[in-house]
Amino acid sequence: MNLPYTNEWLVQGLMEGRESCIKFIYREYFPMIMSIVGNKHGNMEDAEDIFHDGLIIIFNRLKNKRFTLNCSLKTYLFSVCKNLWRRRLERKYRLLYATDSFVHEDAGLYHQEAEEEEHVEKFRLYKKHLTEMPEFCRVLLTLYIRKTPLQDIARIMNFKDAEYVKARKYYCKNLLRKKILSDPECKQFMNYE
Amino acid sequence: MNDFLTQSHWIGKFTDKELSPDEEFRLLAQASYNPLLRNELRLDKDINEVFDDVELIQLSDTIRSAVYHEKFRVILPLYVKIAASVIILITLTALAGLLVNYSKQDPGQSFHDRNPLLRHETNGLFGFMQAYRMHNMPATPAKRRDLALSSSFNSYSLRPEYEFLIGTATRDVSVFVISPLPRVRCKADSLLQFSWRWVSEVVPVSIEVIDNRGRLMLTSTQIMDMTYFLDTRHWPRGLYYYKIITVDELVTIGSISIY
Repeated sequence: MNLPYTNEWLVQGLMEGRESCIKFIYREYFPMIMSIVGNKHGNMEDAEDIFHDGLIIIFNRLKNKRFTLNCSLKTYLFSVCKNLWRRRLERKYRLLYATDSFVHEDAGLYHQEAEEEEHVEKFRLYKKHLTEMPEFCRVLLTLYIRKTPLQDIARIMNFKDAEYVKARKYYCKNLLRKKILSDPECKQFMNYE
Repeated sequence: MNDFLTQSHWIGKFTDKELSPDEEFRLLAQASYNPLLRNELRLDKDINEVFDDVELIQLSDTIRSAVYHEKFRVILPLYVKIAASVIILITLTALAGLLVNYSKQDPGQSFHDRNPLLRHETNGLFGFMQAYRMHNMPATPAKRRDLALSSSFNSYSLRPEYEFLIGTATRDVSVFVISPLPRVRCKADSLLQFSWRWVSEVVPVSIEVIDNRGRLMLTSTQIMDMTYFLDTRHWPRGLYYYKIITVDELVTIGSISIY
């Protein structure tokens, strides 16, 4: 097939977060990910999460100056997503049958990738709960995450001062923590007490 | 510390390093025997770390939005696109044909008479496109005539090929025409008298009447009387041309305007 985007262009687009590039990647590569996930009893939602996490992992790796992409983005995305899905299934299996959780995770690279994956999965989970928060808290925390100065947040949200913003932020963060901790998915990768 | 709000604030403040040493000591002391508090402290720190990268958050938003748009994008199959194109083309052609045909109608006519789609004599689905097709046909004499008939003539239009002959002398002098005059007007549903006399010998006379579109309306041959009454009943109003002919020769041409 004659692709309108070159590999370099796609990588550049991903780094810049260009929506047209991501749409193209989704159109062209998502069926491949769907087949990986679908073959192992996954559904559309799982495939979308894997696609999202795969792109985030690649983005994080590309940001690392020491990393060089030696193959096409398609091939790399395929391998990242395949590993992600395999590990996710393994974790699910361990939780279901309570086997030793460190049975395969002694190898260096495998462990590093697992950490990376955990980080991305945490990110996705927290972000999901942030999106589901009440409007007031969502806006406040989004502004805070984007490192907007407290005075500006007070002005945008019509609060009297920065101190009040802080108080509301603690309240909203508390709400977010409660929501995350009550999510069963959270227990899959967090070794909380 | 028993107050829920105070505790939740302290967790946030602890992560932001805004607690006083005394408050921090008290919080950590409580966390040492409270696993739930320990979890919350770890999670709060985690949230701060995970959400530290603004670029990552933006990329995640973009991916979610792109996936959402692409997922609900309607992709029509090729055959549906082709079918839709054909239907649109046919509709446009039909509208263009209707417009061309409609613009050539007499505004005096009623809408029902003007609209070919409503007329019973419409020839098939695209019958109303007749006028459009005629305009685009190669200009053979017959087609030119048809075109002239259908579009530019009205019932009183003159025919130049007859007009210049009206009232002129011809070679045949065997018959002297008394009436009608070369250009005669008569009322509809009336009789028009033709009369003549023979100059030398009696020869049979023929009369032909043609309408202004060249259609033969009447032919009457081998008349041996000196008068003939033309019955114009049931003839539409308009311009007609008559020819008086002896055996082989044209005697005269005239026009009859029926009003």
